[in-house]
Amino acid sequence: MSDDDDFKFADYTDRISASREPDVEAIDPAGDVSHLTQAWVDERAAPELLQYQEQCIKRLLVRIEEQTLLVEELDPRNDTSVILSILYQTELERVKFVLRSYLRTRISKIERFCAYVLSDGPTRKRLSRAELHYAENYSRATRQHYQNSFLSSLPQSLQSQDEAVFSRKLSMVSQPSLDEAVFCRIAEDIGDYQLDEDETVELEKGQIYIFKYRSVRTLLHRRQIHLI
Amino acid sequence: MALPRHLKNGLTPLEIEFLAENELIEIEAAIDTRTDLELLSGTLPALKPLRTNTVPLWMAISLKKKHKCNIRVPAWMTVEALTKTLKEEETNDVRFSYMPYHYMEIAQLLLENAMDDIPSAEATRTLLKDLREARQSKARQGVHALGESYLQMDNIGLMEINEIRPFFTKAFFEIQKLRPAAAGNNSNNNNAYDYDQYGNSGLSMDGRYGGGSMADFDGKASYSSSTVPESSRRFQSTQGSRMN
Repeated sequence: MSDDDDFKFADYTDRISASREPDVEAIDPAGDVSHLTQAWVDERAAPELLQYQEQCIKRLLVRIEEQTLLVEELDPRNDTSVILSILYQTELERVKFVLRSYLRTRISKIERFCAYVLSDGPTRKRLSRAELHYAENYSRATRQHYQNSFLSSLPQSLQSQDEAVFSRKLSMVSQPSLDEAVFCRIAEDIGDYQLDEDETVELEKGQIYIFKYRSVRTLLHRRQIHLI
Repeated sequence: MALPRHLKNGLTPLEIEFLAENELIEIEAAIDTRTDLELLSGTLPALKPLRTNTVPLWMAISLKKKHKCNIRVPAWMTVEALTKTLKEEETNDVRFSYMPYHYMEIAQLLLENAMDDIPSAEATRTLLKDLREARQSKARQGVHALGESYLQMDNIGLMEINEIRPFFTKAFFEIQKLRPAAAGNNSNNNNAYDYDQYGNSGLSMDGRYGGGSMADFDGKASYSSSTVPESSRRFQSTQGSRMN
């Protein structure tokens, strides 16, 4: 891996720009299902929105369609074909379930952190086009609704919906909490990894840890660890 | 709502079972499919009677329900293997003995769906139950070792993680808030963290952590973990005694 060198000094300041998130999507199409399954589990466990797995999902959607056609062509009078058809359909439904749950998890995060997702550059880049469209519409609709239903009757100075009103960085915009604890499984040998100023751990494939999400965020973006 | 509230606390046991069904297992098929199985997740060689095929667990169960196969009990799930593991589990009180990541789910699914393929199913069930209890109490003792930066728990199963998740994540989060050094660092590094604009909003966890069983954490600290500062150790012991 080309950026092997700099991840050893992995920055706990979390300065992750879109250009530094390498394209680590599965190249082998047969790996798409397990790739998506892991992406789904990660998405469920991570407090923030992760990169949308565009290529993987695009390929899978095509293959789901092909597979559906293949199932339809199986001869219903032949016993073996019937069993094959049941197995194929079971798998199709399993994959579709993961895909649906993946998308729903993302939408629920988009709704929860709507203003943040739209205003934070790196997070915004992780959305698919459809998700961005959804986020913008959702934001417009809720703002409009709050404005019409009660904000318009408040004094002008209290009508804002995204101010950092109080001191000490308390913002009206709800944001994902990166200090949450996450369980993770190490996906590849990483070696010494600096968690924060004074803590270093040696990470080996297969180990299981509880970490603060912030301190292993970079590793997750590189898919060197799996959340569980 | 895009995602029902009960799905927001991590995976549900049913979803974990779903994941376990992707694990591979050996079967002896009673049918001849003649063609390879072209699945979305890859191609499996054709099923042939009287030959061992390796298939995903969901497929094995689906075939089993139609009486089209026998499932081979995995090596770790035999009575001998389980007896050995249980012994190991009881003698070593720091580490978990090695078990497959999805052992609880796989064992459960096999006991439910393929009883007749398991020699001495009752003994297997009892052993699994003992093993699970031994590991459960070990997992709970881990709370004493919960420092503010990490905790290592190798060989723990996914279902076991899910049981301790609500309490552990919450406790971990609270310990961090109490760490005096962290508070200092935060104010020093304000500029660095500004980039993310994460303020105090994280404190309002709005019920993401459901109850979880908190009542019965007891026992002695036996984990090797990061060095825990005196202050948080004290916190842990007071916390521990309050929960008893």
